[in-house]
Amino acid sequence: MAGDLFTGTLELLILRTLESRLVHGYGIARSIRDRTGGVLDVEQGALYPALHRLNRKGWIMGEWGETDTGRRARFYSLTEKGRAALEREAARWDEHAQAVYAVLRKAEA
Amino acid sequence: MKPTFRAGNFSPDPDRDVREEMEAHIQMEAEALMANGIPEDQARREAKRRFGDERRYGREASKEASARERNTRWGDRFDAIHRDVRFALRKMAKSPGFTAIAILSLALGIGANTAIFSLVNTVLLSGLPLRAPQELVELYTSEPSNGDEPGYPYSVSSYPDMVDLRDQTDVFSAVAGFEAFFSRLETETTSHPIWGEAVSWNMFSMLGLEPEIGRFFVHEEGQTPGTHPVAVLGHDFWQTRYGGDPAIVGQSIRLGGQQYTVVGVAPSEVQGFTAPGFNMDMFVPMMMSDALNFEGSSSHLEQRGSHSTFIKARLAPEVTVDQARAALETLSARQREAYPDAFEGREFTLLPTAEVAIHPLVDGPLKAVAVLLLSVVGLVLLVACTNLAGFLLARASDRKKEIALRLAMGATRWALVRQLLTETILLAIVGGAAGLMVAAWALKALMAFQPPIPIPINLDVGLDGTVLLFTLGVASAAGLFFGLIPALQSTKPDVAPTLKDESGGASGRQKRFSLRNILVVTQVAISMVLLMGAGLFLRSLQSAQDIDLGFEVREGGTVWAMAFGNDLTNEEFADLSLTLEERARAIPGIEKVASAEILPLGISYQEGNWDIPGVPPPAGEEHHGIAYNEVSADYFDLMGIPIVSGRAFTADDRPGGEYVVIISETAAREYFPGESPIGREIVRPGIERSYRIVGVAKDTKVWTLGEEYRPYIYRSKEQSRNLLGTQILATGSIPEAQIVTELQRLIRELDSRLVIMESKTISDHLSIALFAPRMAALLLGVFGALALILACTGLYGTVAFSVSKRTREMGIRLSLGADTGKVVGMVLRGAMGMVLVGVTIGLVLSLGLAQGIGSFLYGVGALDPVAFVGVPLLLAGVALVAAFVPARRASRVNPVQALKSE
Repeated sequence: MAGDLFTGTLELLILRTLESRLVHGYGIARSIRDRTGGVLDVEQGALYPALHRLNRKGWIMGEWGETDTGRRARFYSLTEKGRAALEREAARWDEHAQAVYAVLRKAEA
Repeated sequence: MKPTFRAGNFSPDPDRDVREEMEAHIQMEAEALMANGIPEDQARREAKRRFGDERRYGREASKEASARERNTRWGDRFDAIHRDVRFALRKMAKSPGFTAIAILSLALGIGANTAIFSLVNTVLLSGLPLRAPQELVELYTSEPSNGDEPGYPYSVSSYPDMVDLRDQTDVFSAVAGFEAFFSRLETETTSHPIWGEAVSWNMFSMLGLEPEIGRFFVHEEGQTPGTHPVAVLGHDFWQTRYGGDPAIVGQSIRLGGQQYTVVGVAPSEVQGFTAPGFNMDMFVPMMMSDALNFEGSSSHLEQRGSHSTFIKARLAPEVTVDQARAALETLSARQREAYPDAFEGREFTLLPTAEVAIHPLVDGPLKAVAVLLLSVVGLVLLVACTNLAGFLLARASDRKKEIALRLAMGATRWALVRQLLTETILLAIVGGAAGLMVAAWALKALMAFQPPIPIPINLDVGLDGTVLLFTLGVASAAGLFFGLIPALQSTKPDVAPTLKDESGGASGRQKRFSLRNILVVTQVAISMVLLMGAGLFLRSLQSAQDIDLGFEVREGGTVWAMAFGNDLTNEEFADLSLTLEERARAIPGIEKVASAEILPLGISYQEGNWDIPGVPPPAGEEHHGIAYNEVSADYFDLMGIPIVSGRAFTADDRPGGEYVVIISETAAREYFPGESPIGREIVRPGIERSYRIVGVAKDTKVWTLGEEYRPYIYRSKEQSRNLLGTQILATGSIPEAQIVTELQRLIRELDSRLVIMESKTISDHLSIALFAPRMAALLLGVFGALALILACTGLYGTVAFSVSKRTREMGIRLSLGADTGKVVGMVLRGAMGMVLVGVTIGLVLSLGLAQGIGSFLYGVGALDPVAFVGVPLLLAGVALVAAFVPARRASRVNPVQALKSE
């Protein structure tokens, strides 16, 4: 369960990152680290199975290109299917988080 | 960065992609750290640490990536197929005529072949679901040679011989036998004829068969004659007579005057062991066969001279066929010594069951007929294939320009070939479906034919899936072959000339011997052969109808009535027969009534031994073998057989008086040349009774239409009074079908112990003799017409195609002042040239065919002028029409438009 929650969360973060931009793997990792204030700074390698899983589902698409510094890298972008999934998954995660939060508050009280 | 078409998600090597992008990631992280002043080797170590287990993540990512890769490939393939199919459908819809011809050809070819193959398969190839069939063998007793007549190795055995084969050899693990019986099922009010088989108790268990319900026979039911009246019902009989009620098991039925207990029902696939189509009503233990024997004679189970048992056996483990044959030889020698009377000149023979379809005696002719049928439908399939090929050929050359264009645009040859494949397969699928319907209909029509024999034939023929696939495969392969050659030719790299379009111009004249023309010639030749066969059989039918039968009667009714020996004596039967004839005469509308033991031109005739004082029998024979019949006094009058000298039978020819016979003209000429036979005597050996010849009757055909007149002897039925069966004949002013009904009613009312074996009109009876030529003419006619239709559609297509290709040429000719008649004539000349070549080849092949079937033809020379002139004329005429219709289109070409069309 914890694993699923984490996997789902990571995927959601990737999708959110790609929402408005084409980004390569390293860029996604940086973005997540920056935006979560390092709280979710898991091993960066875990990003790649997730990326390819999303690619297989057809939610994101990857293609080779060049970075600003002329380095070859694989850039990812969100597909139409992925955009729909992002909204759906984000809403679900939100609901989930609220429920967990509510339970935790009760336990404290 | 704009994604290019498909590039991003299509990768030939997903593993490398994952490795590369992960390496890039680590490098970028290390560079970022170095930008903060960390030395390179330390930065790289830190980057790797932050990344984590590189191998594990790489493996997981690769797995996902290759899964995606596989999906993509199939998806792309599916997309490509989808595109090809849509394209092919569009192309087919554009030329509905060609498409319809192709599908029709396939449907007829596949349908005819599937129907005939299924029939042959059921009759000759498929068998019962037997356990370990390779161990099963058929055992026979040979028939000794008799004078000039050679012996026959695979004849029927006697029951005591079967017992000896079982008990005195050790090469078989089981020996079982059966014989057919005829009896009647009695209810309180009616009696119903029954066909069945008396089987040894272990027959079903030896073959490994299981009953539908109840049980088969057990050991104690196979030991003592007459003690266990039990029966197993045939599946169809159970269904039709008892509505498939399982409660029938345990009930009692009355069979041939005795109560039998039903113990089980056979499964539907076990119809009997005699032959396919002979659907047995029931099975009883062999020990009951004496009780059911309708001659009423007893203990034939003990008589070595009574050959009526068919034997099957299962080889003991490890025993080979050769070892079994050796054991049979030993036993045969012992039997010859022990039973010199019954077994002299005989021996036991054996054939593996797998090598016998029905019986060696009928397998030969049946296979010959099967080969003939299969060849005929094979030819039809060939015509269908050539049609399909012609269709695709036209399509391919029509498309030369398009193909060249696509090649120039960079399409691969494979893509073009794939397109063609798709089209062929689509045609095959549609044609196959239509063929299935044709086959089902054709089988139904074939099964409706009842051969003219008194036993009901009920063949359960299912459509054979293998055959359907096979014919579909052949047709598709032919289509592909002919479709691919021009496709590959036109995909040669040299595309420039085609693009310039020479095909429609005056210079693009068709080659005289193009593939397409050869196809049309082949089709015409094949239809010619089939139609010639039909024509010869039709001519034979025609002349058969003109053959002098020797008797005048053509219409009337006849009913075959019979009694069982344990019900009636011969005297009682003779009296009943006389009463029956008297009552029939009293029916208004019936004028003449007579009776005979058998009818001429039926499915059999009988021959007996006779001695003629002063006339020695043929060399090597003890007696004269002469065909004979027993007839009532009115027989000659009703049949219209003139008595040429002496007298007919009269009411004074009674038992106790002098025994008299009438002989045929041929008999008189052969045995009493140059003198009058009237008053001479002939003797029936065995009963040692002498008969005085009182008359000579005109010759009649006895068994077949084609036979020479043979010596024939008529005995007086009223005088002999020794029969238990009779053919009642009646003619009159009422319709013949009504006469039959009246006779049936009379017999039922007269005595319930009389069983009606067969009822028919005289015209139906006479058609038996014509059954074979009629069937042959019908089948060959149908298939010949089919081939002709296919050939004509092919010809039509070819002419239409060449006209459409030569539009420009026509336009030029017309604008230069050629009249339309000349242009049409030019097109027709080309088409009829092909027809002429086809007809010539067909004629040569037909000569061979005519030699082959010559022996089946009555009164028609193999080189029958009517057939050999009429059929080619008919064919050429039909072909002319098929060519004329599209050729006329050429004359309507508008010169201006034709010249502009390119």
